[in-house]
Amino acid sequence: MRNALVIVAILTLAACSSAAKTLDATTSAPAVVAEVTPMSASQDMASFGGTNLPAGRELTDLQTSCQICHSSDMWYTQRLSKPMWDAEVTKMMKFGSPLPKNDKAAVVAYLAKYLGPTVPRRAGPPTATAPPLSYGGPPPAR
Amino acid sequence: MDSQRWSRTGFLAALGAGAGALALPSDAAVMNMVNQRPYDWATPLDELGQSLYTPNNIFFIRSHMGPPATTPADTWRLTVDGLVDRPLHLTLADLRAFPKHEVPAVLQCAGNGRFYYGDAYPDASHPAGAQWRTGGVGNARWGGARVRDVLAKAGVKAGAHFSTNFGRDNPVLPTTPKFVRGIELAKLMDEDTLLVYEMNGTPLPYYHGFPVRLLVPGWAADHSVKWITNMTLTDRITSAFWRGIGYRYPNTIGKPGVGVKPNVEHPVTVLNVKSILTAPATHSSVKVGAPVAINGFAWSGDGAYATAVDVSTDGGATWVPATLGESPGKFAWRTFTLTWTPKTAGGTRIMARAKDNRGAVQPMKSPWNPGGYIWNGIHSVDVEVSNA
Repeated sequence: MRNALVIVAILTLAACSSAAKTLDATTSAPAVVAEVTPMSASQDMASFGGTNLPAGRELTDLQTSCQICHSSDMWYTQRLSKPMWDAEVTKMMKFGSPLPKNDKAAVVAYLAKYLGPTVPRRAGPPTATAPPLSYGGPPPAR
Repeated sequence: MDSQRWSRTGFLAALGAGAGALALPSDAAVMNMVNQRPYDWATPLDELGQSLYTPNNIFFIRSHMGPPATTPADTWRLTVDGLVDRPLHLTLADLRAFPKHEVPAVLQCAGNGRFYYGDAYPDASHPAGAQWRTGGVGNARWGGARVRDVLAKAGVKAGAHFSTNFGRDNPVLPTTPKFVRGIELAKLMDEDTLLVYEMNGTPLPYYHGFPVRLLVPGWAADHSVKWITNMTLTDRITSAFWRGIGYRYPNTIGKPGVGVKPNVEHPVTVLNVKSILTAPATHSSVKVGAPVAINGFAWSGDGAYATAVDVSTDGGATWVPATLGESPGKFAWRTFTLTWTPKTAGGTRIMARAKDNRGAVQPMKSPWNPGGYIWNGIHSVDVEVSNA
């Protein structure tokens, strides 16, 4: 089932890629149009220098079930409580994520442990050139 | 610096390592990446500060599903149906035949600033969603046909109160809800609500909805549906996910970090009063006795406009009125500027606080809400003052 969905996703994106070449020359669309090539999970992660998340079944679940539709930064930039991670994972499973039901509890616990509210946020990829702005109030407590 | 800013070298290296033929949706050399896929790209503050109108190539991009396959202009159609006397199937030429109007307006993602809830409420769960900082906003001149002119041609039937709108973008998986947005008909009938085919005087760029998008000025940008193909008038609001469950705000502000059920929330619609500092850059160095230009933009939501900006150069202890630029339109942002000459050495915090014509004032921090929407907390930058 999971493989089938990945294939559907790739075919969908490939179709977009093909159709993109029919761009009307009179439009203002960029010269190079959206030839969206799906990245493998490892490529997606590598593009950010990794997320410092420990390897294991949970990480593999994230890579194979979530990165069908979005890149890994959708989770590694967030810092949510366990109930809110649970709500996000539940929503994504309703959206069609092929995450195995039996893995859900472990994945939610993993996200809450390694990407919970008390985990410092990363400054960004290695090429980031400056720290983030402060929000305008007193300096953050952590 | 807004977010994760990439050097051109770094970006291309990432592309080479991972994406192969992934195209650049905008001027990636200067944009800040919020999400790589689907595209969420933020405009850096220093780039925003270069001009009153944000250039198309650095205007922020928010994608729910990623862009659709490109649409040849001659095959695009807009279907207007539902509670109308005469359903329409308009071509781009048909749309261009309506009187053209241009509206200068801010477009801001509902989640712009979501990142800062995490700092403002350090003991709470952060709100879920893309972690926009300051760059999910821009100001442009939008050109197109008034929606109400199009609807007049269709003939709005009595009993129509809403429209369900969507475009050509589709989710990766068929089980994921398509981006369908409902909106009140009264707002669509506003003279400044447009079916846009031009942005800053040029044809609407592909990643901003080519060939046609909605412009719903003064409201969160999710209403301004890109790549639009369908508008269906109804007597009740759609229950589709992106209106019935997503993009909602609690009726009563609750405990930070705790989720709220959609049935005790309402849709996020009108933007609130806000300002951003575009100069000086955070963590920049200035000198005692040397004048510093403090610049930025201020705006508000539907029915309001920024009327004043106060600036503090001492972390909020004292405030001085800045000079506002002319307003190019009630939905556009205005510049503000103040020349500051530091008198003492050391670190200090510059802050900007906007007010609007309705008396609304930017708070120090916005109330925590589960979606992290409409953050308008006071923006600040920290600078180091050294002896000359």
